[in-house]
Amino acid sequence: MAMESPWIVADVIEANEFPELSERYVVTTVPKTIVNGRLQLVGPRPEAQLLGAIREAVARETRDDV
Amino acid sequence: MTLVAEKDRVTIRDVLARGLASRVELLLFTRSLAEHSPLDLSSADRAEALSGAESQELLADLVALSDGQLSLTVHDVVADPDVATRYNVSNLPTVVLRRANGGDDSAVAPSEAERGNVRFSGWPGGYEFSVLIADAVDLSGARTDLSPATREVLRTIRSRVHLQVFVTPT
Repeated sequence: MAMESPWIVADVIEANEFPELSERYVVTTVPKTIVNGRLQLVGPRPEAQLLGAIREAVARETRDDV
Repeated sequence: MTLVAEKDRVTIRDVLARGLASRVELLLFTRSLAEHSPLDLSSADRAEALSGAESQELLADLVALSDGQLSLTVHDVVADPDVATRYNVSNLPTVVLRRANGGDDSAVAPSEAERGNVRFSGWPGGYEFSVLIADAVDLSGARTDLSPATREVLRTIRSRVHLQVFVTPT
């Protein structure tokens, strides 16, 4: 998805090598996806669900800016 | 010495030869061991440095199979502390993928487009190695398997989105 938008940064993180990050986001199952540090998706998810989380994150950012 | 088995080398060379439509840069951000005795480093820093060295070896193997279409640049954050800030990299090691020569996006995009916005933190081996190769191929052709409807929505985004996908090598 990052390839389709210059506004998106996608980090693939090896959970074992970054225990502080893994603890912060309570990573007990992989893959686990965190969107803007707030929304969480656990396990492999279909495209539509990830897109939904991105839209929700964008909506929250917009609300926070108001 | 190579980290990639011979049978995998044949497959990877074929995938890259058929898949890479343009040149892709791999930018590796790492903490070099060169200027330190391992005994001088904390265990966390030593682990970072060792993972960085192994990542560099693996990525160099990959570049060697690409017939010049992939390149690897290593940024040592010890020798150049500002470089991680410039590229907004906080995890070490991290490899950033980006199209060589940039793209048409740079005129309308924030700086992420130029810095590279597909990144792998930690040793990119195991299952993630095939993901990295697939991403390099997708990036080279500026194409993804996403549906047209998804791409349309993504094109409308005008605020920053940070995806962090936690994985393990197996």
